[in-house]
Amino acid sequence: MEAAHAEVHDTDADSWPTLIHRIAAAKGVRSLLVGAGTRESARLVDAPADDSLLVVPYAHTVDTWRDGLFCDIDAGLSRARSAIAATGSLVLWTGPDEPRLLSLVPPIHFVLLDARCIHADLHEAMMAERWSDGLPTNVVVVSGPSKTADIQQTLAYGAHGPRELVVLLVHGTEAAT
Amino acid sequence: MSHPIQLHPSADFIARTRAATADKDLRKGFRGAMDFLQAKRAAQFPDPVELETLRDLGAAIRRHSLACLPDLLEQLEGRLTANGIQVHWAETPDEANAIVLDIVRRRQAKSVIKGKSMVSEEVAMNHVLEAAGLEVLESDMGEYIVQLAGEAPSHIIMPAIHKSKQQIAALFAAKLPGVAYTEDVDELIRIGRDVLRRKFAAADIGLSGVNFAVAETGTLFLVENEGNGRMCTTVPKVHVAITGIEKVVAKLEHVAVLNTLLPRSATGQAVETYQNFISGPRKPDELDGPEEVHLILLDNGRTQAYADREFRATLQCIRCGACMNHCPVYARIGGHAYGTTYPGPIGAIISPHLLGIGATHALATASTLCGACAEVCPVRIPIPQLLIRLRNEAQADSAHASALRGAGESHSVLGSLIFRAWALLYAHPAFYRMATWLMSRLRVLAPARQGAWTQMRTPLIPARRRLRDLLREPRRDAARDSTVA
Repeated sequence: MEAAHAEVHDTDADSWPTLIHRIAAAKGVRSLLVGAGTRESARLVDAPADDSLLVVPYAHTVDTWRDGLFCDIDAGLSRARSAIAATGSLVLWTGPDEPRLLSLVPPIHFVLLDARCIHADLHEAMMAERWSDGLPTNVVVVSGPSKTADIQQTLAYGAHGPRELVVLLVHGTEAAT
Repeated sequence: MSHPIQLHPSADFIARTRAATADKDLRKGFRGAMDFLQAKRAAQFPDPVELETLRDLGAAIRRHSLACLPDLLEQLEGRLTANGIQVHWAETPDEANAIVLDIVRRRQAKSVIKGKSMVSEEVAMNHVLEAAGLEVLESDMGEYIVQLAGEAPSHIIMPAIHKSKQQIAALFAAKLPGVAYTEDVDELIRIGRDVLRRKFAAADIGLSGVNFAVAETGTLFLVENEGNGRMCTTVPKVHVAITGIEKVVAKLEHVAVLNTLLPRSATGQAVETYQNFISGPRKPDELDGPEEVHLILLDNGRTQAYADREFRATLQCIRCGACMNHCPVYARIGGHAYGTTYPGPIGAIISPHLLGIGATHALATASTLCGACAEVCPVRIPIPQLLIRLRNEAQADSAHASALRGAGESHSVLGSLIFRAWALLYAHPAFYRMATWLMSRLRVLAPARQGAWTQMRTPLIPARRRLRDLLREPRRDAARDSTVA
């Protein structure tokens, strides 16, 4: 993942909320968008931190606050369903508490990944998780921050999606699920 | 803003290639880009056994998909419809555009934001939508640059490959209000990002292509690096996808295999940043995503290729562009010289089905048949073989012309007589001996100017003694060698 320009932090089930607060403060993130009503959002709010990070729940349909989403949010936090070792990719299944734009519009994208949910390659992930039995309306497999080499083959990050991808690799108990 | 794509494939192909080969900057740009892409691809496939095995698998998957294409398309339509995606069939570009215009009118849309789609270029959709009064904006950085310049893409994966950093800097400074000239690539991308971000939030319709459509699950698979594809397919209230009927695969797992070949062959990346699996519009309990998703399946001559056993292989293509990246002709003349939506070797074999052989036969001759394209094709399309077949089809006389659109249109009586005489000579040793004997005796009559040949080369003059004569002579060298030994 780091080869694809993502930042990876090892952490555990107890300390990831504080770690996010710390990274967010270091990056100057003031507002963090999270899935509404998720356990993660509650833990972030409850985490002991003396910063002023605003945890914003994604609680309304995008149609009502499109401009707010595009202009006012510094970062988003989503949960990876699993990951793919061969390509350093994260599998994101979207749904009611995991909206599509959470992982796309904010300039910095935090992802929680349970270290036990790592497959060798995409094919294995599809087979082990039985994707063909039923997919959500949108699945995205993310490998690094948004990028482009459309100007004279020079690689530049942050084309249209997030400029930075921060992965929190959660070891130990079932907290990230 | 953009101009209709000018398609003059054969008419002044030679003039365009001359202009392209005389343009030093263009040639330098393409040479550099091709070397870069070739090296990156090679680095992705260090193990030749893995590569060949993957290519076998990729070719088998695509052949299998084509073998049951009618069934798969029916299954795809059924699954997509069940998932809430509306399926439309278009036989011609006009039909495809009419479908989009219909959606535009029903939704009273004013602006369309586009992800990268070569099929939309194929049907000249931007032009049609703009003529109908819509604002159409390309959102892929390369496509955006090309659109801003009022041009067409010159490469199917890297649309602005023909432009230098300096040209893009000048273009941005000239066309975007309040933008100063800068050659800093990060800064240029940031400028593009800011302009387009506002447009994403405001656009009524998002338009995209499709890399593969999965029949078993009713899923549209779309890859990209920038995130603009995700924007186009999730932010606007309507998402319209357009693709060719050949892009269907039977199973989801087939996508996993094909996508190990696609990015590595295309740009030499291990994987794209975003692999999107789109299986439906927003559900009632979801907070974002399009309210409507449409898929337009375009034929536009593909069934003609499908009906021919040999040409069917053309439809195996997964649009990676490796054939053009490795083509010595493409590297020298660039993408625009071809004059077709799809340039390079794949363009030379697909365009005749889209536009007719009459309009495109010159493209099949713009190849040395060196075979580099077939060697790198991830799904083993026998491109040189198909080029030869197309050359024959173009020259065929009425008795031998096939049912292909435009077959025999460049047939000439003189040409066919010359080739018939040639065949006669080569098939009959006595004639051949006599002809070569005559040629060596009459060698002084060989003209010094031999048309196109002598523009760049010394004239062809038959040898004084034929190879046959030389072989008959006592082998002096061999005798001397044996004494030395």
